[in-house]
Amino acid sequence: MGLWNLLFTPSDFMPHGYCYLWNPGLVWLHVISDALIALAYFTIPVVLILLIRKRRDLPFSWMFVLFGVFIVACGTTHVMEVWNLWHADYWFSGVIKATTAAASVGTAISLVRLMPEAVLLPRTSEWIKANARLENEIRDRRDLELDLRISEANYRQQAELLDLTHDAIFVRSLSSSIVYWNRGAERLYGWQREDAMRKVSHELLHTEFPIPLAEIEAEVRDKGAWEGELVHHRRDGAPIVVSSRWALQLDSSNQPMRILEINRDITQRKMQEKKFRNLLESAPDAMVIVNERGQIQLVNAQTEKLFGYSREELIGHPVEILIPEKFRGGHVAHRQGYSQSPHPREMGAGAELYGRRKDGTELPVEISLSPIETEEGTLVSSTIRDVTERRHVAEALKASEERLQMAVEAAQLGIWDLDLTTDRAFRSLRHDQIFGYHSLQPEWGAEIAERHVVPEDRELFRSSFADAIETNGFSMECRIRRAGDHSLRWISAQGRLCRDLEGKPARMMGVIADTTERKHAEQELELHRQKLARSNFNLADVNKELEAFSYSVSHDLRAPLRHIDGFARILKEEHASELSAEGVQHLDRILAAVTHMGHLVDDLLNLARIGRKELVRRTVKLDRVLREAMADLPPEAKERKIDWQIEPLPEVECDPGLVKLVFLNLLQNAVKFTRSRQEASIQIGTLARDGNLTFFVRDNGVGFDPKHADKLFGVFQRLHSERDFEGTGVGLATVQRIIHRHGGEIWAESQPDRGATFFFTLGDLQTERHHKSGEVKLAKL
Amino acid sequence: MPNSEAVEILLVEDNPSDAVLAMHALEKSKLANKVCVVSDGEEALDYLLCRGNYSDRPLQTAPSLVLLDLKLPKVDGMEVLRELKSNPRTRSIPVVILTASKEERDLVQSYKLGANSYIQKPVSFSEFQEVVQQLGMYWLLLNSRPPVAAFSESSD
Repeated sequence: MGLWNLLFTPSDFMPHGYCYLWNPGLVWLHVISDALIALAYFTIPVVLILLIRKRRDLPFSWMFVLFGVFIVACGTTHVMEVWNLWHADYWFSGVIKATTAAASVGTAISLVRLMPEAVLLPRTSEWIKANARLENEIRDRRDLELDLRISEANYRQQAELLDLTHDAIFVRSLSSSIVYWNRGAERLYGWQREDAMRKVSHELLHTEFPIPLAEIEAEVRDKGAWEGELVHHRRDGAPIVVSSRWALQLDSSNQPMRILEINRDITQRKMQEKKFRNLLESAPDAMVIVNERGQIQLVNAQTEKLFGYSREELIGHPVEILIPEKFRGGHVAHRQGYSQSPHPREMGAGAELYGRRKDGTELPVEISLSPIETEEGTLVSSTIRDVTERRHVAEALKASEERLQMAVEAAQLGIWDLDLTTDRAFRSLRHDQIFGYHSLQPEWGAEIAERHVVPEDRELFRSSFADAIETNGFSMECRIRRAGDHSLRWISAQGRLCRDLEGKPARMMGVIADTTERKHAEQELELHRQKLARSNFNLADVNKELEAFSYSVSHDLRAPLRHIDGFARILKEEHASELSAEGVQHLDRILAAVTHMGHLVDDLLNLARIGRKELVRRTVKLDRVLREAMADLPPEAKERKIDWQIEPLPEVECDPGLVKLVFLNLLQNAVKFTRSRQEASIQIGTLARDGNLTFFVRDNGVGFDPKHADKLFGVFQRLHSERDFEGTGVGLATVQRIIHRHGGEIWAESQPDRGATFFFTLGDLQTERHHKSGEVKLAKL
Repeated sequence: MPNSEAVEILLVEDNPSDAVLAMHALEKSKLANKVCVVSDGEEALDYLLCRGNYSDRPLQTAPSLVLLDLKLPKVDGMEVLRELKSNPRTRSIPVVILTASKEERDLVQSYKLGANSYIQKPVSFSEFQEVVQQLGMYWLLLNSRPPVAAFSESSD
């Protein structure tokens, strides 16, 4: 209370106006100044508060508060100055001043402490500059936005344009991830944009690269682009060949950014190319395509085959390497001439042309040329055909014609070639000679020829000709009356029809020959044949009769013999007691006669059988056949002392059964006729005689008189009495028949009591074998 | 004629002289009482197939041997042989061809038709006697035959 009183209790001090002596001017100067200062001071904090409230972002806002308090305090002191002019509240005023002082000092200290931070605050000029920059930036951005909007529109337009193209276009990042995919790509590959985006293109399309992808990418990096052919696969898996162009997009700092790939479907073209290529490759002829400078541009497989060069060795080289050296110079000139006025034509104008193989050999060829207009200029396509075979054929034909000519001359054939429309014929001289002329007649035709034919054969002549039109040829024989001597001759004529392109008969060509001699020979032969047929017929009859006879003999003649023998024997054995000794003797004679008769019948039957039996020829060792025959000899042969001298015998082809009979008969005879010898000797062997191997059987028996030798082989012919030597007289006849049936000969040499030798051969067929075997035999001996 | 049950040999022979000689030879071999002689092919078939004059003969009995000549009246030997060998009932009866023929075609044909043996009658009677004796010895004593029933029952 004390303080309050002290402050506000009126004191004894004099108001301050007194100091101014109440000079009104002075008082009011102070009053007004202080009032204005106070008003200003009070206004400032209000503004500052407003500022702070509006700009909360301002730094050091507490400074403004402090400053505001300080200013209000200052303003209050000035109010107190005015108050104290009239009131002397100096204590109160002093407190106010002290408060103001505290606020001032606090503010000053704060300001000093704030100083370093406040220095860092931008200065106003910088603010202004920054502002200007900002404005520029804002303007630029606005422009850019505008540009962007324009380019976006452009871009959309371009994209739409890209969509319009048929080509498949896509853009992919460096990692091959697709970032753009046009309609063309959708159409070509069947993948929609949404399907394709962000896919790896090579995986999506199963791309097949002609060269490693790394190489392509290297080229794209180096040159910024690549072109080539790729195989892509559609969504359905179908492969398509595309002509592909890659372009590298760089960013503003020239770094690779993206790759644009433009693909055109050339599958169809490729197939056509392949077809064309196949066609070219499968062409039977060699094809060589040459440019205007004569360099080979293209060859087919046949060219490689024909010339022995590989494709690589030919492409780009002058076509002259396919031409023999000696023609090369000329060819260059020809080639240049051709390129002046190219047109399809055969090369060489009929001359023989030759090609040259890689190995230097030459081959005859035929060449046709034709120009091909291309964007690379006029190319010349040459088709080359190997005519080696054709030349050979032509040569062979010529040789064949020469041979034919010789044959025709040798065979004395006349040649004719008749034109059916004019009835005029070309002939050889021999042709006209056959018709009896010494030289070629000026005119000849079918009609003239017919006049030479004898009237009886003219119908045949005409019909043969007429038939030839149907059957394309004829062959006939007819008689002609020769010009000059009017002699009758047989001719044979053969003709062949030639038709024109329309198939109408145009010409007839052929040969004629004089066959009179042959005809006569044929007629004679025919006569003989008929005679032979007649005698064969008779022979067959005889054979049949003989067969019937021998059958009858074997059955019917033997039966009564059997009966006679049977009953005679029963009589002798069971009824001998009822007969006289003479009667028994007669029975014995009957039995002996029957036995003999039996042998006769058997031998005769054998003879007949051999006559009609077919020979069964086999290759056999005669040694064996001989052994078999010896085994069948009567017991006498073994019982007696006989010196057998047997040479080795060869292998021959014969009927072994019959040859055995030959040996058996001859040996039986030898045994029989040496019976009287104390030391019988029988030799069997072979000897060469007139080139024929001859067999012999020699004995030292009784022999025979050579003057009867002709009777030796006759049936029932005997040179000895039955009393001395038994026998039927059929044996040697049988032997001879067997030998004759083999085509051999048999004969005998003998002197009475000096032994006999029988020789025989088995025909010519075995001669060769005999010689060979004979040599072997000699070597053995 | 002997009792049919005792018949061991059927001799088919048309020539009476041959028949007499054959019987004589068989007598020597003590076989004559077991022989039945027929003189033609037809009769031989009637006998063996029990028909005609022989229809009373029991089927079960069959001779042990048929001696068959080829040249026979009416039905010849080949025909008899063919019929016997194609008939199941008579197929097993041994048939020996005893003939004068030495023809190869007869020989071949006989064996083709199933003859059991083929013998040419020798001219010499003593040889013939020997042949007959051997035939009797072989076919009647040595040879074993299946029972007739085994064949008559067979369906073929």
